[in-house]
Order: sequence, then structure tokens, then C-alpha cells
Amino acid sequence: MEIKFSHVNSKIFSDLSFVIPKGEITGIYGENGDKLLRLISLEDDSKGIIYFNKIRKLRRNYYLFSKTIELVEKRFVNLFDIDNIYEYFREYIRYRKLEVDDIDKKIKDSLRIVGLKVDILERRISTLTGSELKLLQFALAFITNPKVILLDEPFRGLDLNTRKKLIRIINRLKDKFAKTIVIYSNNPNYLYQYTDYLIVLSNNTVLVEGNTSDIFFDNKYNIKRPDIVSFILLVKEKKNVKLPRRESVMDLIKDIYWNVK
Amino acid sequence: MSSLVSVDNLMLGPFTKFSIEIPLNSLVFVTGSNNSGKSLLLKVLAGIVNIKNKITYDKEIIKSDNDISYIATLTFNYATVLKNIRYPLERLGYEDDKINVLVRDIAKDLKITNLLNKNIKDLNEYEKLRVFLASKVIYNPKLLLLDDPCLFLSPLEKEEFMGFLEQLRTRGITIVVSSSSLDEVVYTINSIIYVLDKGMIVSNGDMLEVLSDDSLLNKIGLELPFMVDLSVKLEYYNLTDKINLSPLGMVEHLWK
Repeated sequence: MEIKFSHVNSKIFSDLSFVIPKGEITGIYGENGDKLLRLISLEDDSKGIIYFNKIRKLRRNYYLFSKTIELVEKRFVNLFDIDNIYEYFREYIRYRKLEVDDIDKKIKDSLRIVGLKVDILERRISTLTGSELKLLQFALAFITNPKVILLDEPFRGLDLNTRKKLIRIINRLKDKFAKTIVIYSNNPNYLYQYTDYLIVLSNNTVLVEGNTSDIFFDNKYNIKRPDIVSFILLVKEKKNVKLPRRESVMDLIKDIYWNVK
Repeated sequence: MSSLVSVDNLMLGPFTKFSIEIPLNSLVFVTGSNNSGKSLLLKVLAGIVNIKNKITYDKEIIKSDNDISYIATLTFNYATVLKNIRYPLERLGYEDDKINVLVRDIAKDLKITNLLNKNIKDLNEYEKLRVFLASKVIYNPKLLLLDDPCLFLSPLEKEEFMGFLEQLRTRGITIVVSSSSLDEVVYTINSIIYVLDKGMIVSNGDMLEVLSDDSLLNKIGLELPFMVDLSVKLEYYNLTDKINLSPLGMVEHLWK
């Protein structure tokens, strides 16, 4: 689903115009990016023109769009004060007004997508570790089968292995199920590695949008860049040596080796 | 160096026969992959988990529960910043004049003076963290435990926050920080790192020493900070012989 904002204003933002392309992973970078996710999820009020797949959002079709969007919060918030995980899933399905034939199968499928074992259903939420909670949040988000998945700082607190697992899940959702994925992060390293398209916010409006790598390599913008990009740009500035754009340190090392040898 | 708190032969959750000593006036990082036991260890050190005789505090320094501050989730009892910071002192019966001086000092140290009259709900993540920290150190505890405080901070904020912790250490506070990433560690001086994996200490020592073992850290799922990663890999190619944390210094070294 493509999402287009045209001159949208809200309590925080002014004159927001941008396009979130379908079939790509879009990153949001800059102050109040998490609030922008809330605006896209239609949780916060806004004035202006918003299109979902070229259909304009109006008061009467609002519900149609909001139920296809799922926002995964940066922290798990227990909405119902239920500690048992199986009960929590059931309540969540009721809360989202989902019509499900076989609830147990639906729950198990959702757990399988994120790689959680079924026996987690018997555990209590308060005993889960940070990474288990994050995966549970994802499992809950998938149960509504959303078209758009908005992720607020999804990688925080996850070690490399869990993060790789999550990225595999996200890429599969994008490639196989054509989901629109939007990731907000204040860590440019993650955005550079994991997103194709980037929207940069500054002074509560859009500073620039476009290809993630192009934006980070453009000297024009006064933003904190990914470490590897800063290093490549520094080499260019100080030594007038143009190293190719790289994502992994291993590739960068080879470039340096051939250059200084 | 004498130890402020030590755990001996702990048997709990992922820990079997686990022992650790926290030296007085140190800045200690406890890091590890997900589910390694780092958060649980902090709770143990804070005395929240009942483990009877397995934990020993230096009784000369830690005289009561008030000498230990533990920070995990940021929960505020009052709506305004000022009230949240003042409250612990009011509860301990401090005089009003004394409270005002202490509040002014800590607010200056943590750069939150301009936030004092704001409402908590109007603060961002990093501002909330500093306000909460202020409320937890204003009565000068001797041991401060922070469970992954940098989780939602940007790289620049992490760097500044580590500076604040160094500053608190000069007030005589021993600090133990758990962390799911190694990024913030490089912003400290003379810190000690413990790396946990499945409830065991797999590496410990001073910062650069621990960070240079990239194969161990990668194996348990920890990512090296960029400049450390670059330095360590350049060493394999004989292009450098030490860890250089300054990008400019490294560029000058490579293209000299």
C-alpha cells in the first residue's frame, strides 16, 4: 500500500508532504519520528490530504484504513492487565474485532512467523525477557494481517542474532506478502543497513526524502550519519580518496587495503 | 581496590555458582546477548531478589536501603519534573533551603535546569531519563544500578549520558550499568566490562581489552562499535597495531 501525505498539519508537524512507497522498507529519521508514526497510523489527529493507495482518507472511510495499519510500539504496553499470554492473545483478537474461525490456529501461526515456541502461551508476560517481549509484540501485530506495519525503534535491545532474525521476518513480509513497512529509528546505522527509502524530519517538517544511501552520502544535510558513511566521507574530505559506498566493515577494509598498500 | 558489593556462589535462574565483585568507586558495564542474565544480575546487586547469604555489601558504606538506587523502568509519581526530583528529599526530611540547593546543583549537572517546570508528559525519552536519574541520585546513594539506560538514546545522547555518569562517579557513587549494546561503552574512561553469556562471565577486564576480542563478542551476538570493529580488522591486515577510537586519527594514520 502506498501512503501519500500532502500538506498535512498536526499539533506537532507543519506542512508535511511525503510518499511512502509500496514494496519497500521506508525509514523515518529525525526528531519526533515516533510521533510521525502515530500520525500515519491515524492514531493522532491531523489536517490535510492523506491518500492510501490513491484513495483519499475521509471521515467516512477512516475505519477502513485504520484497521489495516498496525503500530508496534517501542515498549510493550499491557493493554488489558492480563498476564497469561494465551489469554492476552484472545483478548487482543476480541479488542481488534477480528473475525477468526480457529483462534488457536491463528495464534500458533502468528507465533511461528516470529519464531516463538508454542509453549510460550502458558507463560506469563511479566516473566518474559526483553527480546521475548519484542517478538511477542510482533506476533500480536501479525494476527490482524495488516497491510502496513509501523515499527517504532524495533531493534533496540536486541542482540545481533535476534536482530538478524527480525530483519529476515521483515524482509519476508515485504517480499512475499507485499507489506508496507515503516521503521522509525534514531540510530542511523540501522536505517542505513535495513531501509531502502528514507524520510528525514527536521524542524517538525520533512527535510528530505529519497533513496536512503543517497541521502546519507549527500554532504548537504546536517544530520548524524551512519559511522561507515561518515568514515568514507572523511577519507574523501581529508585525503581526496573516493572509496566506494559500503555497508559492511569487511568490504571497507578491503577498499582501504588496496588503496593504501 | 576493596569491593563495595560482592556476590558469591549464586544459584538462580541462568546462574550456577556465579560470583562477581564490584570494586568501590568503579564504573562497571554488564553486557551480554539477550537472555544472558544481565538484568537479573542488576536486580540481585540491588538486593531486590532475595538470595539470602549470597550477597555481601561493605557495611561501612552501604548502611541502609537508601544507599542503593536502582533504575529500570522510568515511572514517575508526580506530574511535574520539579516535584519528582524534590520528593525523595522531602521524604527524608531535608530542610527546604537544603533541598533547593541540591535540586539546583543536580539539575545543572544533568543539564535539566530548563526542564524543571515542565510536565513529565511533555518530555522526550532522553529528558525523562535524566529527570529520573536526578531523582535517584539527589540523596547521594553509594551504589547506582542502571538497567539498560541507553536503550532508546541516539548515538550523540549516549555519548553525553556517559559523561554524566563519569561525573556522578566523581561524587563517590559506584555505578553498575547493564547494556544490550557496546556502543556506549567507548564513551567512558577506565570502565570495567563484564560480558555474560547464559549466566556465565565469558570475558571481563578493562574496556579496550575486552572489546578487542571480536571473535568472542560476535559469537555471542554482540556487535562491536564501528571504530573498534574497523581497528580490529585493520590489525589483521597489518594496517594498524592498536585500537583507534578517533576516525580522523585513523585516517591520518592510514594515509600518512
